[in-house]
Amino acid sequence: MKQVFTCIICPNSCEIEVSEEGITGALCRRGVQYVQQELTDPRRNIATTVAVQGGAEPLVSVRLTAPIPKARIMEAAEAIHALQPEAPVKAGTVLAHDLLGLGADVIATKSVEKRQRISAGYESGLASVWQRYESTPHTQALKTRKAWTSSAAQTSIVCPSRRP
Amino acid sequence: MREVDVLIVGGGPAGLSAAVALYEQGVKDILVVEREAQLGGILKQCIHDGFGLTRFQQALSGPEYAQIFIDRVRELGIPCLTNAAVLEITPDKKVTIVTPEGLLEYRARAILLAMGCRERTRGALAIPGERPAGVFTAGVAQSYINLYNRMPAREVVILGSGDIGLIMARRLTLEGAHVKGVYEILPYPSGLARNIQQCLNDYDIPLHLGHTVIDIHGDARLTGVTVAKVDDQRRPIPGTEEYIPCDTLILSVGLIPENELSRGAGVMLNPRTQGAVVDEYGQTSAPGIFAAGNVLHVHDVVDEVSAEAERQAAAIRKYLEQGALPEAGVTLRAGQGVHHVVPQHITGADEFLLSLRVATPLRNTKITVRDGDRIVAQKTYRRAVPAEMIHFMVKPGTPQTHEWEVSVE
Repeated sequence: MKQVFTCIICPNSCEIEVSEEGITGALCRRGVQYVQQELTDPRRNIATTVAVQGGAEPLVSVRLTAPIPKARIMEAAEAIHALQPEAPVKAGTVLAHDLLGLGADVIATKSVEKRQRISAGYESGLASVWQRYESTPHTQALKTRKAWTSSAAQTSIVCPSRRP
Repeated sequence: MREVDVLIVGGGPAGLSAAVALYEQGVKDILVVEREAQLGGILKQCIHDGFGLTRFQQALSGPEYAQIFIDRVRELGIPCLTNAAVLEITPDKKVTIVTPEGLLEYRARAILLAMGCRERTRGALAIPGERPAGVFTAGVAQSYINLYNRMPAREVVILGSGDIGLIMARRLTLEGAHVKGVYEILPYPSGLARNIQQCLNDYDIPLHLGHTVIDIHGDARLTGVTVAKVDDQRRPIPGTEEYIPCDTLILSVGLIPENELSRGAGVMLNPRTQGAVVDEYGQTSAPGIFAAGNVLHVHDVVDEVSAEAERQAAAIRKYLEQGALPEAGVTLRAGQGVHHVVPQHITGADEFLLSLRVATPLRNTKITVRDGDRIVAQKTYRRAVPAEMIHFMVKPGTPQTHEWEVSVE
């Protein structure tokens, strides 16, 4: 029985073979460790984003401090997406300790400042421009177009906000 | 007109690495010009990890890697103009910049081109069909999701197996979209093998090699695409067409170095790399104008971009000190089986780093640098693929001819 793995530790992407004779084809020790891990308990790190409340930018990028079991990736992604940190967020801040008891923390990988309120007048002005855009015949026409009621019904032409 | 020793066009990883290296070597009269509001270039939207593995022995995300250089630039007090776009560079190194405060004109003693690259679009592929919303390049979808909190897709087909496309297949899946498959016209993947594993195989996303999209359907929004198998001439094979319903088509079909400014500066371009023709110092055909990073040739990993920019910084310092660099009289040609080489000219006096990509995937291959009958350097590779850039140091010895060739056997 022979199995071939593509090492994902570095860009060398070594093709590593596992057979009765052992593990061959790794350019470094980390490749051998990767295959041993992959055979017993495959793990991955994940990177995603979290919505920041009151941030100058809508999202902060995050990653885990350690890889987690592959089978729990989607569950972990959902748990991360439910986080709601408030601005300001500093890069390196732990946003969740020991996520789902998997032994990895969620850390911010960039800094997001607090949103500066320019003025109440500016914001209400912006809101009224948006309202006018929404009520134009063009926008209305786009919304009521036949194509939208079929298979693509839920995907609007204006990409919807991903998370609140 | 203001004067500056070195003007760096672009505040991404190449520009920032070069700025820091120049400053640390004593060249302190530098200006970095960045057209976006923030420094960091494309790394800002590359939130996945794997950056800095070579340089920092850590798997950092893009923003973290960029921040290391941004912090250093701030610490050293290197001036950076943001929201400032370079409009023109002339062969005698006059630079016109537009900023919110108006036009600025600089005369630089040396210029580093570090503008990076941009994505090939649907227009470059000439796919027939309708023109609905829902066709995005991978990088655009990446910025929607990672920077602007917009979800551009639900049911997705990806055309092309470039690294950004693979990264986006995983990213879209994590965000709850369904990636139906990745279709690659070539018989082998364009992205790194590790990304095929960790972005596609890990999430059971099928990769269809030797396939392409031949039609795009939809009115206001994409409703589906037609894919087909292709023959070895990349022509669709009749009878293999398949309709795939989807609301989004992501294109990951190659990157083009962004060289409009370079052309204006009289810099000669290489048709293979689509970047400047350079010598071993990274100097272009216009004396005093250098290029580094993806504007010169598209790299696989950012660590190599930083290293290249730092080598160019050392050469720029030498250029400023000496007024000129030694003439590169030997031409390096991409021969049999080699897609391109960088640099294309060398002096033949000093050891230099040769970068190249092979034209097709090969196993147990030898890459040879020949000067007439003399073998200058030879390297053996167990596996060589176009997706992975190959580089090694070459000791030139005593040149016999002025026309060297790099080939694969």
